[in-house]
Amino acid sequence: MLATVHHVTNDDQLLAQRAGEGDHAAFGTLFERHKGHIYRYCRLMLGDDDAAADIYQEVFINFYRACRTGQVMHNVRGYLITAARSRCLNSLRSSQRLSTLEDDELISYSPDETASDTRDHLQKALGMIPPQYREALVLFELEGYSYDEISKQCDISLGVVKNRIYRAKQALQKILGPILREQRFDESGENEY
Amino acid sequence: MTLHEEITALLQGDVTDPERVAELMHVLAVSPEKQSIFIEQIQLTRALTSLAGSITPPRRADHAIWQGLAAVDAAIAGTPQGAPVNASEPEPAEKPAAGARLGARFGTRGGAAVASLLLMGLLFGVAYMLPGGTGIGERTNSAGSERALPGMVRRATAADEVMLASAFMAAESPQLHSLTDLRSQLADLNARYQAQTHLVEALRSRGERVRVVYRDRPAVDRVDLQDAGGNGPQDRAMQPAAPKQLESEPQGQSQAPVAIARVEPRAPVTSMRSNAGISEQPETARRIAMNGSSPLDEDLPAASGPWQVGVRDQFRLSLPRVYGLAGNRTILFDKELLVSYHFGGENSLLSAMRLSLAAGETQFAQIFHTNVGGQPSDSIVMQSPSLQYARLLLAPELVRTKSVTGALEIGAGLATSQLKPVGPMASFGVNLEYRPIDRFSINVGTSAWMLWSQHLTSTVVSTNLNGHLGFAVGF
Repeated sequence: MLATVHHVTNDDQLLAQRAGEGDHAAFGTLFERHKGHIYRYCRLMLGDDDAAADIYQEVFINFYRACRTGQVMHNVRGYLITAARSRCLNSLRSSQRLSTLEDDELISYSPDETASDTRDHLQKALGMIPPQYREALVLFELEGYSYDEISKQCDISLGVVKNRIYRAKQALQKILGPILREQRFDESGENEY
Repeated sequence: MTLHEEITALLQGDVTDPERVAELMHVLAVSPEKQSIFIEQIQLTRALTSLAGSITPPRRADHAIWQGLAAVDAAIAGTPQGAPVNASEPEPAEKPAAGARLGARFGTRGGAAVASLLLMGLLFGVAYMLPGGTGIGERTNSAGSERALPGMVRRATAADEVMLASAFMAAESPQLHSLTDLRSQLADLNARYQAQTHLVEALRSRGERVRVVYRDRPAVDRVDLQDAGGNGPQDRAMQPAAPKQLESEPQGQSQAPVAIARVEPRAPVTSMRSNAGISEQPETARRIAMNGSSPLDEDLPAASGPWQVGVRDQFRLSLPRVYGLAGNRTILFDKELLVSYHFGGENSLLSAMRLSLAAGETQFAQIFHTNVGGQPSDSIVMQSPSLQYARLLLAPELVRTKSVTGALEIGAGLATSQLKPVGPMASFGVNLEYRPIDRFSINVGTSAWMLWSQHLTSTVVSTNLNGHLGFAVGF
């Protein structure tokens, strides 16, 4: 798990207020602080560089416009991730990629020959699991959100959050198991435990 | 809890009981198979961490954002004092037109256009049918609400003027930066454009004076009309309070109608936003930013909570007249009690829908076929006895405005007679819900019902066709 810990600080609110006055440097500070999370979320949710970049741009430009039009940003990170989430869901919905995958389909996955390393495999595997599981896993493991934060963000119960993370991991392990085992053998030089 | 779950919980820091940790460690120490699961989980976590570090925003996207800031600054600087700020860019809780949402559910952009047209047609029909009004124009002018037709017409004052905003204004806005947005808006805009064209035809067919203004310049965000004191409608529409804010007379260079003004003499000074359909978005975004909450509430029907309790009168229309039997009626009235829960919607993975549990009493038209002793087959139509039933209704929403929701209703249940099962039943229909005040709704609709029952050794399908009228209270 990433050790990233986010704090909603008054600093963000102050910077957003200054950005609202046209201070690009203040916006730049906020942008640098949050851009990685937002792009990563979009990229992993959509699995597509171009679509992720589009939404990433929209989110920040809209954020800036909102600041300029006098909106008070009490929670910059919450605003950004909510905006990104809403757009990603719209995009997935419009491309009809919200259907869930059954376990049988996961089992039938065969490692992609074009994937060059574990990261590639992992990205492709993430794209295979249902978006709601993927979202919970991305927010928890990659963005450092707590269960409680994910619960509020996605408007689901804590139990459902935990279950989704667990199921996401289980699905990934099912998909990537052979690759991980192969990698382990390669590293250890052994053929069996 | 399976071992897999326990390992996940351990790695996520959810296992805090020392004894449980020790026990788990022991299990892992003695079982190579379980060690393998454990190691794979660690590998997976490591891979995820590595993946997180490898995904960085492309520079061209960062560059585009900085360019976008300049465009926003320019737009803000160019906005007249006191004028509404341009909200042509959808905010996070983007809420497309109801028709477009319906179309999206159908899965195609063409579907969105068709659905938008259907929605507009429905609104026109309602406007004509409701008592006290003579049509769209009157209703838009006499209504107390600022919004006349969702996403298309915004009324500026209590009387006189209706400005139909052009969808093309939004399309031409310099603040649209992404292909994704453009694609999704284009479908919406096409539908709105067609709807506007239909509206013009409708108004003209009713003898209304309608002027269509064609644009040959970049979009504006705001249109001011000023009382010209005695000028005729045509003149007044041509006299802008601020010349930069009103488009010119048609030059014939574009065939896209961008604004349709219907102006009566002696209109007061009015000011209106032209991008009416999405002008509420900043408020939505502000609420999200302040609360960090889901915009789901925004998408629920405005005047009801997720739960509803209601009663319906079922008017059974299709029971055939059974001649020779005294007291048979062709239209019967039965009560049905419903408890409903609303879920899904925008920003949710599910479409908005309602799940209801209903119970009541009804009768069916039963048709039996006989073929006894080599005689020709006869059809005997009978009216069933009163049957008690319970059914589950799933009602995905097709259209939704602030006060009206149209939904399919697909039901399945069981019918009984004197507590003995008669057979399964199913129903399929449509329901229109109108919410005149908070927490109260009126329902009207129609449905076809089927009952499968056993007669001797064969299965008989009985039917009825219902109309219903009812009310519900939300909480």
